[in-house]
Amino acid sequence: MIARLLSVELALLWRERHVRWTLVALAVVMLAAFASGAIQQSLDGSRTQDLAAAERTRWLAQGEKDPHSAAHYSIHATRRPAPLAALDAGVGAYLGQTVWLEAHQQNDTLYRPLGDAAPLHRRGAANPATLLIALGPLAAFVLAYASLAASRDRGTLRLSLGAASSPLRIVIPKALAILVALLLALLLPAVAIDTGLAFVQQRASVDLLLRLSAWTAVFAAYLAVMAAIGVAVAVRIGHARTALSVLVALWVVLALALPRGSSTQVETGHPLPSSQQVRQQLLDEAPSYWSAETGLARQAALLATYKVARVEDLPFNVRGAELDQAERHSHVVFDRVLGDMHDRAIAQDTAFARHGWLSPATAALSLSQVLAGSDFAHHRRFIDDAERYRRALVNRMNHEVRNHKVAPGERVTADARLWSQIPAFVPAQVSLGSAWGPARPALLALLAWLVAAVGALAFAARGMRP
Amino acid sequence: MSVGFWSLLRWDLRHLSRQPVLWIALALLGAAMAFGTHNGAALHRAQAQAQMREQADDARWLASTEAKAASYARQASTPLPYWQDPTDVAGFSRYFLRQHAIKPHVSISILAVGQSDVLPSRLPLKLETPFAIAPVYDFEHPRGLALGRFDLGFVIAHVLPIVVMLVMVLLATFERDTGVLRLVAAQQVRPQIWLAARIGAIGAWLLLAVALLVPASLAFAGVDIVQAWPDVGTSLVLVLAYAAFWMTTSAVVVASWPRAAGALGVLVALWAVLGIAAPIAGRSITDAWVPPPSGVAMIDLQRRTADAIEARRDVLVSDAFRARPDLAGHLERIGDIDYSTRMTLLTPIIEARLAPLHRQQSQARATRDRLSDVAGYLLPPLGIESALSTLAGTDVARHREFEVQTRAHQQRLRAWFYARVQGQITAPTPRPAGSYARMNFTEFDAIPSFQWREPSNSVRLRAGVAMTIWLLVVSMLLACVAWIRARRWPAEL
Repeated sequence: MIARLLSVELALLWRERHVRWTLVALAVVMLAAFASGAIQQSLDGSRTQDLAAAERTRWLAQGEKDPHSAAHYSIHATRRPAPLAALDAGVGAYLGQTVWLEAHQQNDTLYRPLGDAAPLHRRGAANPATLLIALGPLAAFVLAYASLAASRDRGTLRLSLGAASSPLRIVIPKALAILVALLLALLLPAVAIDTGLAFVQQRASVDLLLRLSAWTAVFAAYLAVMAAIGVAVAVRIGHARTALSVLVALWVVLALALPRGSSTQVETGHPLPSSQQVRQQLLDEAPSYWSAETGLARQAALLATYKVARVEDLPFNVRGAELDQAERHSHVVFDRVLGDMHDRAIAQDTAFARHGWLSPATAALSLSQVLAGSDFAHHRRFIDDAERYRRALVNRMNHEVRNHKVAPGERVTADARLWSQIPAFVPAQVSLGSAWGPARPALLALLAWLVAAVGALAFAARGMRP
Repeated sequence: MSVGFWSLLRWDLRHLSRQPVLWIALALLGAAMAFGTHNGAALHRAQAQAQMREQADDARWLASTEAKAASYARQASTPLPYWQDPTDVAGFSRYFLRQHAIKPHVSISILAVGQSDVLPSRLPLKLETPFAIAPVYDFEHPRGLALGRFDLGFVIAHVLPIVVMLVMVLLATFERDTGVLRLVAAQQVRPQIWLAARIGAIGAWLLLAVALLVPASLAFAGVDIVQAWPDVGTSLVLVLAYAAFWMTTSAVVVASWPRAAGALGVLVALWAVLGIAAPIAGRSITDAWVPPPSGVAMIDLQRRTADAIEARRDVLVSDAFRARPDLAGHLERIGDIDYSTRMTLLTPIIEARLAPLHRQQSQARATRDRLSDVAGYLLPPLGIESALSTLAGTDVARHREFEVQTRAHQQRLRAWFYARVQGQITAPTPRPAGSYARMNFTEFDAIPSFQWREPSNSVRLRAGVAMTIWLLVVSMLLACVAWIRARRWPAEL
């Protein structure tokens, strides 16, 4: 019965000329945004691979040199595009793509794709997720109005109410028809193409398919919330112009103002330390070039530890030992200072996800980026992977110097035999299970919105008037 | 005819002042503006504080370096390595020189955050940085950057049009929706006059509110609007022109006598096209035509260049010596010079090899900036955002000027230091006997420092005036279209 009513409602919706054109226009915009994202993802992927291969070749072919010079030469590690970047590029365009893994410093990731973009390019950097979040509710409300409020104005609702055994029999098929129309026009085409592309490009994996399914489910839930709210408002508010005004106001508040407002509020309420303070702290506590006094103090500590009077009597290369000491000291500082900043950035994401209770758009936005792998937490995994690799590489080079005592004025050298002992940098795949923590409050919030919206729909239907 | 219009206008002005929808919309707009200016002010206050701390830290570093230099002026059994010696000019120039170029905010910066959340307000100055511009940035949470800030610019560009459309549509279609329009049409009044009076009254209330709310929200966030009156005045006229654009756009739609739902549907769709869909298309077209500069390509070239230079290092340094009359007679010193001194000769060669890609990327950036400016005239929400950020000094063009001045200062620093560093090749300062430090550099206070020269205020104001004129011209055309469309009452009446 529901299926028949649903097909009738769908047919009625499709018959409305402006509804048809709205859906077609939005579908075209969605697919265009998806195509743009997919092309960018492919370009980024190939650039990443090319640079990684070039860096590996350079590392192996750097020739004979001091291992510490090799630690400075090192490599540039490059971030891979997010698994679902074509559907939600998330924050990727505002994060550095590469990081130089040199000795002494945990460098920032550099070269943000939109780091110096003009307004057109920032404003035009929309993707299917942001479009669904911003325009999905608008489409849902337009359809809800077309489906209900207009038929009330025409008087056809009175006839339907008279014939139905319960108002729910009218309202639920209408809400479902709106949801199905939105899914078919806005959501499923992009998801289907992205799934196909994943198989064609041999990117498909259990994790990717899980992400795709969960991402689709999140936006289906989001659109369902909006369809239910739209129908509930149209049912509850008797007057068509008032209903539409309320729906437009809800769209502006829920989809446009609150996500931005929440993000800004979270930044003000949970501020990050300024980069200036962080850099200064790193300079103060772990400078790249240590002073003569620090160098003398380190040598004195080595002499005391090994109970010898002269540097020449130490059983290892003192320069290598000093480099190693400085490096290990800096690791503790980096973990404390930069680790704290990254923890606080992720805590901000969790706080933003909690704002999902204020707006389903905030909840969907938060969940979407985590599922797409394009949030800061995924980027942090890259930073941590790269830093682990840097430390292993630099430590290995320092040990090479430390283990080879040479005459004063001479330098230790090494060649490709040592360079080839360092494996190529391959950032680990981040599984969804290990990365979705910051978005957990958003999932609860979205589910609560879904329950509340369906409840509001049932409540509105009970008091439905022709 | 004119008597009829003014009578209607007076009646509409009184009548509309009693409409709750008008006051609710304006109250929400005022609250959004206040929240927006508060947020913009918070960001810029934090950036200004970071700039002051940076300057203080640079000064503290220089003072501690001078103290170190004084304490190293003593006898010692082993000399200090040059990279730990601030009195060695080569060592100082590479390992101790610490300066920042600072781009201060203008007094009305909170008008729009613009690009100030992504573009650095401080750049570190190093002699070896290719073209002076290190790709550094202040870490702002990328979620906020991607989503955009809730600042005054956002409220004006995106929320104000929706408020204008809602108020216009709800108050101008009331008679149409309630059937009263039939009675109005039966009176001795022309449809154009009746609609012009209604829209004029709504517009008057809206423009008056905007004219009060914009300066009030700026003052609320701490802007001295009396002192900054040219900027505030220009911004206000620009915002009023933008509001007029959306009013006349609404008038064009309302002039075909639709119901509220139909009018709102069309206007919201137009808003979505101008504010969301068209920029996506614009960006895609621009990317295809002028691809964005690739950071990865620059890294790859820098690495290849560094390898190539390293492979022929000694030859290149000899060539550089031979090319300089003052150095040509000192070829025997090539083997003695330290890394820092060698880099004073190699850095210009590295830059020359990177220059073609750098030039190409700079041209691509400039073209993309120009295309964005042109798009602003076609897409008013984008245009007002750009114009507001230009007036606020948070735009891309001011940052490009900052980069130019930073580069010029780096060139001054290079000239200053290179002369001293390379002077040690031809005429080395004798090291004091048994001295711990090299003692060939003590001019710490004479090092040139960066001074930002603010471009003339008129440059920023001109951009605002140009967009204002354009919006007024478009608004007048739209008003004419609305006037023509409203010449008859709806046929079904």
